[in-house]
Amino acid sequence: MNIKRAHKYIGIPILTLLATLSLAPLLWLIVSAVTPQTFLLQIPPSLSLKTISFENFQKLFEISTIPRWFFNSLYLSLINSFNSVMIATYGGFIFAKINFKGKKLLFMIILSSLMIPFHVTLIPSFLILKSLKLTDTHLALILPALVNVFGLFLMRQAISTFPQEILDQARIDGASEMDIFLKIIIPLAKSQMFVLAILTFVAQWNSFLWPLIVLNRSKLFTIQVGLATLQDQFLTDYGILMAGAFITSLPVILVFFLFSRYLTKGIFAGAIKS
Amino acid sequence: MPLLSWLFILSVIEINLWDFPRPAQKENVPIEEHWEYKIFKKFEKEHPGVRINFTRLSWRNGQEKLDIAVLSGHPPDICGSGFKTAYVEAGALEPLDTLFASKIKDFYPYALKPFIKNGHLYAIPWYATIYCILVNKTLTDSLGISLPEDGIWDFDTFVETARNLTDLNKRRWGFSFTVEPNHEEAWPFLYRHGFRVFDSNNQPDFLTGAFEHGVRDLLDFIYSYKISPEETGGLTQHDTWVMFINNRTGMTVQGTWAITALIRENKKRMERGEKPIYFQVMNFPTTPDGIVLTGSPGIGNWVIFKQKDKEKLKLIKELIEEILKRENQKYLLYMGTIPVIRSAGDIYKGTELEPYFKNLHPALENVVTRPFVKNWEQIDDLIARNLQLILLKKKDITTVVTELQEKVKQLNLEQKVQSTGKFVFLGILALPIFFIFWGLSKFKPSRWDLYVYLLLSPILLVFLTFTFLPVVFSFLLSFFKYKAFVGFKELQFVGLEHYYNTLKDPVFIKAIFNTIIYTAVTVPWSVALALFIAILLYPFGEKIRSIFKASYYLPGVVSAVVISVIWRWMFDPSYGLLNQILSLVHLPPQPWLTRPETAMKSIILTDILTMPGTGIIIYLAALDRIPSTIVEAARVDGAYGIRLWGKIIIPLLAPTTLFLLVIRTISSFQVFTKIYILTKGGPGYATNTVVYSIFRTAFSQLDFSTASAQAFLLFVAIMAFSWIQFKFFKEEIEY
Repeated sequence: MNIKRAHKYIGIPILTLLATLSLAPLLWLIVSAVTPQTFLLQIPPSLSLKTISFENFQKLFEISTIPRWFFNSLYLSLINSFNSVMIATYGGFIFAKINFKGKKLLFMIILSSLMIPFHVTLIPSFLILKSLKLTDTHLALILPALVNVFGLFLMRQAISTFPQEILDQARIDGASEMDIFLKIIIPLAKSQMFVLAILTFVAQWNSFLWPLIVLNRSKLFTIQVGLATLQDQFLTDYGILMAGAFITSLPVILVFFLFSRYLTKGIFAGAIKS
Repeated sequence: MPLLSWLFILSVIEINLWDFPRPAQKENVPIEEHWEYKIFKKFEKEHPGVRINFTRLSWRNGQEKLDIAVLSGHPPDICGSGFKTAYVEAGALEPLDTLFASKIKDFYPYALKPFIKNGHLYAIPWYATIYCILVNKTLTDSLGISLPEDGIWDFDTFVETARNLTDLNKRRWGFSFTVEPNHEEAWPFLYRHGFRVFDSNNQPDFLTGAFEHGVRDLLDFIYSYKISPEETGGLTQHDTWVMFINNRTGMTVQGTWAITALIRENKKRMERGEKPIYFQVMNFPTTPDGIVLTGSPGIGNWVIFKQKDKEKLKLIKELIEEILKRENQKYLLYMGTIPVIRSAGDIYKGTELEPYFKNLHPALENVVTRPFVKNWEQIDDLIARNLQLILLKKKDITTVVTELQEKVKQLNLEQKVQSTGKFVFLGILALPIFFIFWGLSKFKPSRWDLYVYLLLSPILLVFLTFTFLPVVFSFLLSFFKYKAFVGFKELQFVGLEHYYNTLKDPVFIKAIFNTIIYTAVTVPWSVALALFIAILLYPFGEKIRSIFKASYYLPGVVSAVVISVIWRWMFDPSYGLLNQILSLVHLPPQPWLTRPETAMKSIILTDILTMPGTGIIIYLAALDRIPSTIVEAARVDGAYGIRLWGKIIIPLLAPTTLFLLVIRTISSFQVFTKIYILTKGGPGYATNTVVYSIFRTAFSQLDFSTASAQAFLLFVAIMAFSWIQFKFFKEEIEY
């Protein structure tokens, strides 16, 4: 009991201090976004409730097509997370619960691709898409995102913990593997799928280099590429940049606040034993 | 009807036109009112059946984008400022000398020179940007310093003025400049003594003493006259610009575009009721012979990529002529650039810009442009990074001179290429295919196995296309000399040469070293911190836990781009939050990203201050999964507090720790976005990491083969580290 109380007295201040440190950059982002440039560039910066204005946002909307980029990112992230979660669950089920010749080797090959630096595949992937005439289209972002190896691994880990007896019973009852996948695996794996969906959404929303390389037309840009473009144009106007950065981070922050409890639930499945 | 619409489609000629950003008439004009867009629209109107597909490139990555487009064999038809010597070597550009024969005499020779090779002209000059010195007139007036009205001064007057402008108590420098890669702002100080990078025999001219003399002048600015900040070697052009518009420096070197930008800035300031910056445009100090000269970051130009259709080529030529028309020359003043056509006259005459530009007329007679040589981008990068190191006193000028002479010579050497390589390439490519078939012949799957493979086929197809195939492709390339833009026509098998060269290259060794340091500090720290926080959080109820978990995880969901942009702002040398905080507690401002000793530490600092949200969540979940019976049993045995954690729980968490270490190491080996946005690998090579080096080798230097070799070395390192970690922890667990 004593130890527990002591832990609380020491724990809370340390945790609070670390939390403040953790949030400082984001707080500064918000402060900078709502403070006009003139007040920011003073030594020391003059910040007060009086200086709060949405001038930076107003300018941002005037000079950029940020709503369009926002929409592009939103729908692409949604499509990509749906696709990759479904496919990861499907593949995870096959690798976890179905025996076939060469499974181990195949899974090892697929899994080892996690260690390959993305930059190794960058140009060849680009050339392949180019030969399919898919560059500068959103399909160039959708197709390669179909198979998410990390997700596949995560779902395999999760599904392999499901009791084999249920599946065997279903097979005895004459269910096909597709039936088992749709009627047993998906309902059981729901929470892990949701976790993976959130992870994928965030990763997709945040992806940068690939869309930067495959997209040419400004109206197709994702918001990360858009923000990078803004940085080229308004390198000195930190206020506008921070307003853009704020809008860019808003959805993932919202997603996090709405669904953070799901994250803790299933993520452990992937963490143990590989 | 379908036939008719077909005819209609066939009759439309599409011209794909790319161009870099061009300032509009005023700020915030909608795209359709932009002057450049209007020129294109007018052209479309006058040429029915022609459509111009216009793509705006950005300054930051437009060049990379264009490179990739040319590499993949799908360049635009025409591109503004798209000239690059490598494109000429690749045969990607149309020679324009006969096409524009009647016009050529109208251009200033200095503007044509950078685009002529073997008697052919490969780009049509559009405008010139030159470097000039901007002086804060408000400051000079208030300090009673008089400036030569005509903008011409000698070296001593220049230094004297800068000295008078320097006031360290007010944190104000007399003169600031940059030597960042791809920026030649400071080079006119080298040109002053006769340095031209290459002499008339196309040999590097570092040894004549002119280069060294010029560099010593720059060093004197910093260390003897003390008119420039000590971190000059790490400053970017952006830094010097921000310093100038905020009175942190009295003088700076900028391109002429800055004149227009400043006038715009002043208008904005006056609208807001603030004081504008009065400024005067000065030339670089005259040469010892009294000549006014300057350098140029490049001549704005139009290039035409190889065309099959002669009719279309003629149309594109007409389009360029339209852009260069006299009436359209006036738009150059929005860019703050100078016409290169004699008949255009002085476009600034009679405008509000005249007083600023008229001082530059004498310099126009002596503009030093970039030489037309092989691998210019690499040469520029090499010189700039060495200048950074010299100015930061990390390298000695005398050793650099001989080093540069040798390396630049190497870079400019013509290399003979065999074309037999592609057969070897195909032969090797056939090997894995052969093995796959061989494996399959031994495989003998049952009907069930085939059924499962059928179920898996969509996944396997995507995996093969977007992961497996690119990796094999890339791996093969690392054994070949693949010339960007030339492609597979001239492929030469070189065996391990790229691996050998890259491991011998001190720049890459430094990158490996930086990556290891970065990983060695950030990975154990973040995993330990995650464990520490998880242990602190564990005893609390769900409510307190979730509040803290949220605050630790939150920054982790925000993109690396956003986080890096924020850090860049916090690290800003003059106004960044960090230096502001330091000045509050009366500590001197830190150079953060601008000095090699501190740049890497600053980047590591951003990681140390980032809470490992994922790690904490994974650890907490792992803790919750430890059966309470084990903890109870330990308690019964008398294990409490630190002993309980150290002896029982932390070993139980070993698999989680292993997982986190592996995942974190792999991601930390691949640190990129942070470097890309914060330092671009500089100053010098201080923050160049392996993946950034891969990126730079591939996209800036267009050496795709060496980049592939580097990527595979990284791949091997990642494998090895994972293996070591697994091995190490296996023993721990068994114990």
